[in-house]
Amino acid sequence: MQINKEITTQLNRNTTKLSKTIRLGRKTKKTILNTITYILLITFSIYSLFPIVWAFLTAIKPKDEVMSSTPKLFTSSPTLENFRSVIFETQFPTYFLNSVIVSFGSVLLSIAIGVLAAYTLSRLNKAPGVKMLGLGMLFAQMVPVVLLMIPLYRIMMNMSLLDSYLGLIISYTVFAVPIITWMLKGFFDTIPIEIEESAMLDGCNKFILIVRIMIPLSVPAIVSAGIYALVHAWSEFVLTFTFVSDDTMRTLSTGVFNFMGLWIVDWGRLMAAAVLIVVPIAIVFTFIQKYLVSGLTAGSTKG
Amino acid sequence: MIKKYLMILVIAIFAVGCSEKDASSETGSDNNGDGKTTLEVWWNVDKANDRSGYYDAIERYEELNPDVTFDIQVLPYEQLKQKLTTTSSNGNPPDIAQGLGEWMADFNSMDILYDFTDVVNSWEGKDGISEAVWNSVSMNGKIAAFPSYLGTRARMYHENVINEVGIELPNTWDELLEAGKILKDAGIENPFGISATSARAPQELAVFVWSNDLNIVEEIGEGKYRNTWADSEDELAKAAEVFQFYKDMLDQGVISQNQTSWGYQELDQNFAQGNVAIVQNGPWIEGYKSEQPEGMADVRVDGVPPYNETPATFLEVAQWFLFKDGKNNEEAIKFLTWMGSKEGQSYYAKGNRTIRNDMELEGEWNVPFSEIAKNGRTWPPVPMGGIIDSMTQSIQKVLLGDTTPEETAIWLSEQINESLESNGLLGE
Amino acid sequence: MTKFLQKHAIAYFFMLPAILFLILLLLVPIINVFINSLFESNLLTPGKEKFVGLDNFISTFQDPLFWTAIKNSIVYTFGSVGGEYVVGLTTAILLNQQIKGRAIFRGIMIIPWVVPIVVAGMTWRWMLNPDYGIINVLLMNAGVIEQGINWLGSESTAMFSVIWVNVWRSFPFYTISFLAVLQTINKNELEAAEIDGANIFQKFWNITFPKLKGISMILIVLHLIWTFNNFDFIWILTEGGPLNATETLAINTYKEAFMKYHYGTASAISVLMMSILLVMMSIYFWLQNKQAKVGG
Repeated sequence: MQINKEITTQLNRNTTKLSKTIRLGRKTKKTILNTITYILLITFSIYSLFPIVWAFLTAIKPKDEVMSSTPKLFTSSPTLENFRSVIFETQFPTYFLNSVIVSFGSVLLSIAIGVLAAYTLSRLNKAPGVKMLGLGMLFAQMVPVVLLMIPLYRIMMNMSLLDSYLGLIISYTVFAVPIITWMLKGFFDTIPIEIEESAMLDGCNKFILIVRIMIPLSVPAIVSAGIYALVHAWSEFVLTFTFVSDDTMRTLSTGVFNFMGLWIVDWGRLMAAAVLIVVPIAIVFTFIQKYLVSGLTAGSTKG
Repeated sequence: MIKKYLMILVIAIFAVGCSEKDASSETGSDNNGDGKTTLEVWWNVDKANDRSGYYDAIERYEELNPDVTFDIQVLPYEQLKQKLTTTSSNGNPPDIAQGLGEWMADFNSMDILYDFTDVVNSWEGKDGISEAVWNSVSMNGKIAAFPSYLGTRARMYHENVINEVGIELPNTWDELLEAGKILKDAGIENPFGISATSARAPQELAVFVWSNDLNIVEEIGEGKYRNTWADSEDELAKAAEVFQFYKDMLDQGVISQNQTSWGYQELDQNFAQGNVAIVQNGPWIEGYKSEQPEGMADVRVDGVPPYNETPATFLEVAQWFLFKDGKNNEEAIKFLTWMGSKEGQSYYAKGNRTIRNDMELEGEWNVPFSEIAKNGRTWPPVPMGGIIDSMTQSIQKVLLGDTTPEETAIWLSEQINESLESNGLLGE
Repeated sequence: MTKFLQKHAIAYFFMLPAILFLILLLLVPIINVFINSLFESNLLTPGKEKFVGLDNFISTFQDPLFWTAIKNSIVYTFGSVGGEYVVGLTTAILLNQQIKGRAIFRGIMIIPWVVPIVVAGMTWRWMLNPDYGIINVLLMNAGVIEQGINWLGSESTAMFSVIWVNVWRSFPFYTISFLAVLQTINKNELEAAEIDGANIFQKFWNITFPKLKGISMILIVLHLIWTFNNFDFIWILTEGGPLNATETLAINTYKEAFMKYHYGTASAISVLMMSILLVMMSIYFWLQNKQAKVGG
């Protein structure tokens, strides 16, 4: 007994010692891991942010400093001349307004269409052909936009939609609907059908049901699909490039592409334009990005 | 329920908002009630970079013709051509477009261009413009475009650099290679300047081809053409020589590695800044004087670009296009003939770029260009779209790739003939 | 019949707007493309379209440029998607750590995704500029390279540079998608594994990675398709040059149609592009299915 007790105390002592060293080890390990994490995070942040920062640093340089074969990071005589020139001497503000109108218009339209289609794919897919249509939408993603340029141009022209907001909104919507539909379908699948059934008992018809139950329940998913579509619409280039020839109807992407062709040697001005495009959407985005993440979480837990 | 209505309302507002916008913009761009005409003009110069008086001429014309206004769309050349192709082949062209001579035959075979023959023949200003210029805008005996400005290429250089290093001005390719080496050793990074991309690249190549006694295509029989380089050893050797020249310039540091991606803007800018010693370039360089007074101070113009066998240069005739489907052709013709008149040319394409031969020209920026006009050549009357693309590629092949000059010459010859064949113009 | 309608009318009614849109603006043009691929149609010789059967396909196959374009498309597509996946996953794991300032880092890393492609192309062209670009200066100062590199202008580096820029613009979407899933992983499960003696890589491989499979599949499929069809990135950066080093099928199609006006050939290339995608997707889903079956 005596011996036994001694052994136990000895053992106990040893374990505490052991666990202490383990704990210490874990702590240092944690610090090392954290340091590595920080170093990597900072590296990736530089990768992400540097182009925009450099664009800004270039834009505030006076003309003769921009074209230097030994560029300095910071200029000693910053100027806002490039920004002034872009804002006041070009159609930049018009482009900006056009981008806002077309992007938001197409996002709203594609969500309206997408919600209905997604609901059908999720809940009413017993109707013959619906599943096929769903697959058709996926197939639609595979079509190279480049080739649709000429036929779409003809269609738009026949409908007199060239150089118009509506034409751009419609064409953006075509390419946004499939992806929005599939994103929302994934979310609708996660909503228990019982909720609807009880509402059906109350005598709601399907449309009211979507508006009163499905939409409020899926706000995060809709917002994230909307943000997704918005980013695409904001960046869209090929379609606008093809459908718009009137300068007052150009969006930021095509307008700035024009600047690039015309002032390829005036990098200060080009970078000022770049900064002016990125900053507003980056600010808006920092406010809404948490919706994007939560919407995606909700949609993808299943997967 | 409220949400639903809101949604419908929002969509409705957008839809209505748009159609209203459409309506208003459409009435703006055509004949509207008060008899005013708006001419939609496409070109490639924005107001801030206007070195040729485009905008001054427009302003003056609006003063003279209060019932005409202009809607000007500025597009870089590449986009301009693509847009013209899509819009005009779908019957929706602008009223007037300015473009490069290279495009004329393409547009002509697309059958979209307005025929100027009658207009020009009854125009009193016709004789003020030389036969060579009219020929350059003619296709199969009819006038397919209206001349806009001349861009004859001349040898240009920074006098101070040449004097400091103490070399003779190079006239021939060999002299250029030699002088280039000396300049290079003296620390000049770009002794000579070329453009290996953009519309300028094939134009420069064409000058070198012509100055080595070669043609890009030769007329063989009625309306049939062919590139004959690969058909005889002599011609092939000459064509290979052209590409060898490009290669030598790069290998010997006469042109820098970076130039392999320069377009015309980079070339002009670098020359105006004084980073390039010698160049073949057009009269528009004069316009950089106000932006780059220091770099431009010692720029001199004289003679044809360096040549090998025969002095030759590119007589660029930029063109105004009108379209068959144009809605305001009558007004557009009035405007273009004014632009081509003595008065118009005193605002637009002044001095060394004028299409007229009855303008009084003096000074070091004007005389040299008229002196070398006799050596000027223009594009052959075949669709150049595919050919130009291949010419640019051939320069890159020999500068960047590992194809030998001879292989490149054969390749380009094949490409040119293929392009002719696809347009049904190839002669055997 | 009436019963059928009663039961399903609502489904069709809801799908109607989507269907109308897709048929009018996608299906009709696509059919148009298929038909055109069988015709010789050249914008330069209008009104002279003639049926040529499979000639357009044959001449496409005989064009060495087509094979270059296929090779480039594959390199560009897999290079981009691979790079995006690795960077996206790494950043997502980093951002999932319990550390201070996570929100700020997350905010910063999402920014490239909201930068319009044109702007991304423009800023990177400026940074990679051989004459005045900052990248060369930084690399030379750091002693990595001795001479400035013409990143977008030389054959050997152009494709790499284009992929690099594409990865920069596209990886944040992977990051946020992965992060969304990572945040649903139960911490207890990871801790339990740790007590069982699993190291950090085992934990990742056995617990985290399987949870990411679903989202990985979606991301990879979609981005493979988009990257394969992508036109604007390369057009803005290099236009397919230098010497076709970045000429993908999408660029090839555009050039055939708008620079050479061979609309028939361009249509044939598009049909081939769609076929290649279909084959790629079939293989992918077949592998997925096989794996799922093996996994039980």
